[in-house]
Amino acid sequence: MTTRTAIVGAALADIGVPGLPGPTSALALAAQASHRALADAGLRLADVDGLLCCGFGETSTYELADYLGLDELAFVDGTCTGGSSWVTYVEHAMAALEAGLCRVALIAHGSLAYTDRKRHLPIWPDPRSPINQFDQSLGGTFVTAHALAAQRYIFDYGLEPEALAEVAVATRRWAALNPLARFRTPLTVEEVRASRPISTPLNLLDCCLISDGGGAVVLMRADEAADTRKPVSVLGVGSSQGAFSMAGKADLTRTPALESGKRAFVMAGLDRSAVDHLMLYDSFTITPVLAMEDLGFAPRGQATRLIAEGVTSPGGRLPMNTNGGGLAFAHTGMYGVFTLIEAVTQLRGEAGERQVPCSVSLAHGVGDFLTSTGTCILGRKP
Amino acid sequence: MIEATAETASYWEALRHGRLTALQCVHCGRVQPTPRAICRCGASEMRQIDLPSEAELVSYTVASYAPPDLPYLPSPYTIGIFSFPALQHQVMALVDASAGPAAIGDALSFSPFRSGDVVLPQFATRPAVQSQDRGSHDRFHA
Repeated sequence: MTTRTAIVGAALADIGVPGLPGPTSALALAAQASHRALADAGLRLADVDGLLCCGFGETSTYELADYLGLDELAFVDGTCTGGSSWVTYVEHAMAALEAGLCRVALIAHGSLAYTDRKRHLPIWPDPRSPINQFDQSLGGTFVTAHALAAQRYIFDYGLEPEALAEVAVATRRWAALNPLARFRTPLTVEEVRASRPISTPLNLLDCCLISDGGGAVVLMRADEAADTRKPVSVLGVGSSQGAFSMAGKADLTRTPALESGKRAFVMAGLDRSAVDHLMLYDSFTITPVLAMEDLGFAPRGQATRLIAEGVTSPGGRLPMNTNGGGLAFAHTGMYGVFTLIEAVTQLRGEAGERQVPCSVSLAHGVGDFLTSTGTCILGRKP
Repeated sequence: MIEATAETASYWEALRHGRLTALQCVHCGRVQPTPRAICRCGASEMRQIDLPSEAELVSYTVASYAPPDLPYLPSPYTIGIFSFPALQHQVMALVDASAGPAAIGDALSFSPFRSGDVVLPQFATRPAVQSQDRGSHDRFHA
């Protein structure tokens, strides 16, 4: 395809170790990341005329635009598809940039998920909504939704929970190479299985972290990005959405990645074999397993075998979640922006000890009860 | 806590009387995933049907900790997806596995969960008995 859109800036807010002094609101973290991403691109806040963000209440486009002082925005998108939102924003930003609706699109995220972890803020506050009446009232949570998928997955393929634990083990190997990762010590399958049960078959170490943090990326049309520091090409994007409730899914082990992945690869005009780096949302160990299979990187029922064989680990042929992922780096409740930031970092060759040979990277976000997905294929600028 | 609407009140009322029901479109026959006034075919005439007393367990999980805003749920609790293949219908429900471990593919019997004023859909790993005679969460643990 002709590359028309580029990510020109990407940056993290302060992140990693809980209790760090620094920004004390989700907005502050989103703003910090935004300024850093713009500086990374060689741009200023005044250049921004497009804003895309959402959050659990505090970081709406209204609030963040006010906080940053962006009062003459030409394009605003507050779409919220859970953790997939930020990857899906790349698709929306591409459309806006190509339509001439804006010139510099800022995608931002900030969260105090760790600080707020005991406040139990309702995500869908209206008790009349079907998801509250028929799922949440029964204890149908994000955790149980993924556990229901995991239980069915290991049943369908005759596996044991140890197969899923391999995901956490492989991801921790990457975290050991990232100084910003929250947990960097090596992990064994036995330790994952010995950690306390959360929702069978998922134990504590099958579950992502809960972190404060933030991140931002900046997009421009590729033909206007020549003066930015190190643009990365957006080769293909796709998003999709399926049943909200787990009860609405005809197959608990299939996700909308089937559709978003297909769209992204068609747009990119690439085969799976062209991808040499994966950033697959890992809210739980089951999440990237399903994504690997839905996106065509593993045959059905084989993803955990490939992971156990080291295919996705350091030195493997398909490095995955090289920042340590949501399982060991950080997870702010909605993790999507971090898949983009790490993909950009790797494509630019700026990942330090964890750098992999990388010319095409795939970032993939997953939202809510495996409900939504966004898939983005990025390429190093030739 | 649950707040029923005009669309869902008949479901919750039937559940209180020990019946698991669904709304079926009179026009196209679709069993609605959750109670609603407008079918996906666009029709708005529904009949309330009783679902079969047995359903197939599609998946389940034993969650160690009940959400803090659901004081009526014990910890741990078991939740599952149940299928009525003939109706192309699935529901989320609690699992009473006190009579033995649940297994995917098993047929479980409807047995509503009761705790105070709260009544929730639940299936049990042994034949259902009269709902008013069943205890609540003391036998609920998996």
